[in-house]
Amino acid sequence: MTIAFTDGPLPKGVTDVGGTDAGGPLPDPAAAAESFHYDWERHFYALWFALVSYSRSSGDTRFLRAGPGVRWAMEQTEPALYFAQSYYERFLYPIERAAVASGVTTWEDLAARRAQAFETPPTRPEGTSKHAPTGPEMQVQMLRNMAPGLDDPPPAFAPGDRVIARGTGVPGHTRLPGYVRGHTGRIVALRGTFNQNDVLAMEGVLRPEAVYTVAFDARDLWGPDADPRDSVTIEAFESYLAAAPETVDD
Amino acid sequence: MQDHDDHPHDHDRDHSHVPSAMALRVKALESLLYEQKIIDPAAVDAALDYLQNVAGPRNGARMVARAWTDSDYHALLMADGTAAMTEMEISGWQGGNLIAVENSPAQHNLVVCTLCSCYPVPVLGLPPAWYKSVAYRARAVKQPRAVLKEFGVTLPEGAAVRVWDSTAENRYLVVPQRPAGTEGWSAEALEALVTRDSMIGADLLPPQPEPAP
Repeated sequence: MTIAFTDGPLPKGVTDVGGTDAGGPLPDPAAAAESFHYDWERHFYALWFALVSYSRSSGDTRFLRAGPGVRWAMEQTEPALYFAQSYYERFLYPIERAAVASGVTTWEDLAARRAQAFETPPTRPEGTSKHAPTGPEMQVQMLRNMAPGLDDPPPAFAPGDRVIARGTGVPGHTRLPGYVRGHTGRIVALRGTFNQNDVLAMEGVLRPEAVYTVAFDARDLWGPDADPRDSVTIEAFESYLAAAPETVDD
Repeated sequence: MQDHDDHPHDHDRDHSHVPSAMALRVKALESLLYEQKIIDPAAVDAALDYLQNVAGPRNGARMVARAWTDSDYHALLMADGTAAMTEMEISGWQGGNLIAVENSPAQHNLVVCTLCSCYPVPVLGLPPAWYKSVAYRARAVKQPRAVLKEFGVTLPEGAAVRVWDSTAENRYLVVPQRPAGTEGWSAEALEALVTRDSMIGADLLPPQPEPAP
């Protein structure tokens, strides 16, 4: 398929917070040093891990869409909910919604399950499930969706090239942060070939593309309050970039 | 400190008899997935084992300490972080590239994922709550010097700051500057100095008093 560039403003997803004033005061790294506050968070993370590898290996999209679909799903959460939810709840809620939307369960069924005593462990049925990935199998599945393809298309850009960060015409999901859109930067490195996230999440299409690290001057992004020595890099699929003309003072 | 990622400190510890609503929601989903034979409990156990016993910042610290003391390994780490992991038999479960970026007197590196919380889990473990916070994700790209100052980090005079906005495909490991006063130290001794936060760029390693241990 052709990916169309867009120069106009795109609505920013709720997760696209870079450069905004969202989130309130910065946490103290010493106080917020752990990843988990509670056992259920660690348990949920392991469950999510298993669910992602199951979805990739089976092609079952009732819980998660292919590839970065979980991030797409999170972006569908209403902003008021997104900012109120705790970190792991942001993953759990889209999975619950997807399961209800695909008919695997209903909100009533989930409520009935929640009403069961915490001490009663989930029943483990006889025999193994159809899809019971082992540890090494899960590792393979986690790697597979992101590993560079064998038929790498020739890259359009090289380190040092000036490029403009634009958008893709794929509505609904993008991994291009809003704060660089329309700005000009320089290619730092080519990082290999990966499946383009936007079309994978929205259309389930595998489209290998070169991925680049692109550096932007902080002053260009943020204005004169930024330190002139500073810079920000992003990771960009080739379809996010267009060649920029060299200027006379380069 | 108010981080909206925190839960209120009610009764949700593992030794509590009062489970939170979230714990019950997770158990509800889990019971559904097991009953419909979508996930096998053994898979969850395997993932838990990896997260608790295999991934972690000691892996990153080993890589950094070896890079400081072995110039061939340093070259490999800077050229191909993923290969440098494999060389030390550190397994990566999340795919993509690991990219090492080196601090120097001229450049300080800071890592963030503004869109979500991408992080090099195999070499640093699971990300700290502050890294995942909306406040850090929002501010690190725009005001890195103010963020570092709030974190108590004093940058070297004349250092430029580069903030690397990570993604699922490309995750970053900061190689801190080797502390002064560690000449002649073994890699093993050096490992113990390397903090998790220094490998994100949110911490600097202090100089060591002589002599070597």
